[in-house]
Amino acid sequence: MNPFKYSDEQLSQREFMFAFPSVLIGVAILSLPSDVAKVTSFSDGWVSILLAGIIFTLLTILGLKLAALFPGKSFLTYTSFLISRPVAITISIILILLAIFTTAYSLRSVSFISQQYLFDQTPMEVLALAFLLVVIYAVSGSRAGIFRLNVLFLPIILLAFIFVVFFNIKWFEVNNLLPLFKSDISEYLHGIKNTFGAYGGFYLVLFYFTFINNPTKITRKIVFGMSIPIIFYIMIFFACIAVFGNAVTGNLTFPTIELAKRVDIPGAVLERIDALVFTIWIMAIFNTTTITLDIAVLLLTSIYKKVKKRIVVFILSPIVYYLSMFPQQINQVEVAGNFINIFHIFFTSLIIIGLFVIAKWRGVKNQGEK
Amino acid sequence: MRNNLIFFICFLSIMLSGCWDVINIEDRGFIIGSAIDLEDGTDDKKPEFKVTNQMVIPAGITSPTHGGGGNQKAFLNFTSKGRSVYRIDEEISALSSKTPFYEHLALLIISEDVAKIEHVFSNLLDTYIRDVNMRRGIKVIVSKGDAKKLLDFQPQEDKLPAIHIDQLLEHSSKQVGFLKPRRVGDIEEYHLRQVSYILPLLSVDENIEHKAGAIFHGLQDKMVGTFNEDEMQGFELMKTAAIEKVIDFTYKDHIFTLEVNNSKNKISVDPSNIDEIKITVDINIDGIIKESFGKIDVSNPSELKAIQKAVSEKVKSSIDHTIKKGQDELGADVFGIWQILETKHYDVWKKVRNDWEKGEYYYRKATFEVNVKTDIYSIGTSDKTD
Repeated sequence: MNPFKYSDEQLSQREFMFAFPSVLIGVAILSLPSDVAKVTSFSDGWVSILLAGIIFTLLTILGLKLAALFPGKSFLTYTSFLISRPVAITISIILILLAIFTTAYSLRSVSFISQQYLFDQTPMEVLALAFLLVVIYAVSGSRAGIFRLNVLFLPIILLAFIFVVFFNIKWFEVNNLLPLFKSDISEYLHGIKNTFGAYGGFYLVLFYFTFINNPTKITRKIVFGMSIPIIFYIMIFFACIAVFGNAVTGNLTFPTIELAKRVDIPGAVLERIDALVFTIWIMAIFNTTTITLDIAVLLLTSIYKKVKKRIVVFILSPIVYYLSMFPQQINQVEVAGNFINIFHIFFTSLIIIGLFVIAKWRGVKNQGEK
Repeated sequence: MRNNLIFFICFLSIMLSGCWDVINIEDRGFIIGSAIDLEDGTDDKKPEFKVTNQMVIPAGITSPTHGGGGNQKAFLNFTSKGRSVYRIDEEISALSSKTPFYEHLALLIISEDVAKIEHVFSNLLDTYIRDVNMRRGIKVIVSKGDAKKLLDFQPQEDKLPAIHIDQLLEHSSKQVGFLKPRRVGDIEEYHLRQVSYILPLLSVDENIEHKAGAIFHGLQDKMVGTFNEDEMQGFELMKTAAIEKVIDFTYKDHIFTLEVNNSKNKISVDPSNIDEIKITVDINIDGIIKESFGKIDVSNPSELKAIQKAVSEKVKSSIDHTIKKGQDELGADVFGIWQILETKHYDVWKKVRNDWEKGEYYYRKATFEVNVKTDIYSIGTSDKTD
């Protein structure tokens, strides 16, 4: 079973653009409406989702501008140039650890949730292993291949959830959405904080920019790519509030799953589409997990240039597996997951802003033109 | 090559072992209805329940074209008792040779006695909400008398009692404008928000009677009373846009029957004085006279006007009666006035919400004004019938 070799290891602009929604839409989509509804009144949570989305889109553009200053250079190369090699390596190692933890968290979540809803007899370890093996296979292959899989899966994922929302229209109650704009500022801010988990992954711009074959005029595409998850989240959020109301949405663990379970289409074949939605959701997690694991691999191979990529994957994956099975209770997973998510997002945001300021301060011109 | 072969064989041995969770469909016992009764002689502090689950026997459903087995019952009821529903369900699964499967559970029946004990109903419902295998679309009803009786009642037209009741509720709400079926998910919302609500109250005699309603008080978290058929009609005229509703009324000592073709209702709230919130209910009814027992010339305009007035008065008095019972006797805001306050007058609602159904009891202090307008646009094909 030799990995298939693509003729080019380059990404097109479109593949890069669709990586954002693919990576962003992940574990958090299931609980996002609940996390936001808990801290905001009525249907006001959409403001938080939108504001958080705008913040992260801006950060992504900033990261893009930073990476565009050094075309064809890897993350480690240009950070070493800006802030000396030892500091760059330290940052990279922290990022590698964070990527490993994030992958482990996704892995644990996907196996826990599918055990809860789909296979209640199968041990979680087996589910996690099966899922991880597929991820390993994807990551040890071609990098461009992962991105092309993203492009392939994304429409299916979006369609499945649009389908769920569409068939819930008959349960919509407009009264649940009213009154509008009754939350105060602190509630909105709290809501923004709770959406962070859903936007983790935007930082991939820092690592993959160098693989784009034609990186001109890409900003608009990035904005488009980032707006897909924002609109998608707002749609799901509104559907949950309209069907369940704010109080129930906030009280449910996974409102999005309940939304899928609420669908009942007459005729026996499609009466229960939740199983189908689950399968497709697992595809979304697959996208997220492969890219996060690949970030770890990419950074490691840029530090140790002599080590083969597949060796790195085979070293990392048992670690990921062990970490994912380490917490005993789901509460511990949640606490750890939240902490990793928030820390990851703050850390990467800080790096993007920090490096960008340093680059400007040192008056770095576009390095590609030298 | 040899390595690949070994790998392939290992791979096959994993894959061919099949699904870990497999349960063949023949081995599943589909539970379609559950009834919860109070065990005789238990006290309210530590109630003990009797749960009946209705399991489908597929052989009984299929039409006996090949002869034999035609008289087989299509369902089987298992009853067991205990303190927690989940525990009882586990015990019931030991009674049957099949694995109970709850995903197609359609109906949950709670007996009146269970519903009347404080907090018990919401605790019972927790099992049905929490379990990942149960759906939020399960319809919930209250039974007058034993809940089990409803599941034992073999209807003539359907083979499965639970499905019969399910269809009855669905049909009557769509065709006759009767109370929309309430589902587990809806009730969870009522409990979380601590608001009052109505559930259909069913009783079984020769047929299943399903026109009454059980009133639950949100804060007291128990069933506080009932609406009979007339009161429910007042409630439905006030709250739901009835599709086909029949109103009997008397005019000049004769009984008339009016079929409502279209009715519009609008409830508006004027909260300028919170100690006396004014609630105006405007109802417009369009209808056809279907039956008249009397020699009255209904084509005469002045007669028709008087008849319209008689209808309006009848509807008004029935709604007034319902409101009076709901407001004074039961003190439960089943009319959803809180929701109008919340969506349209949020600032006032913030002031009164903690004293809406308790303490200051602003709900009891509110005044209702009911205006009914009736239009009879058709009198059928004849003026007078002898």
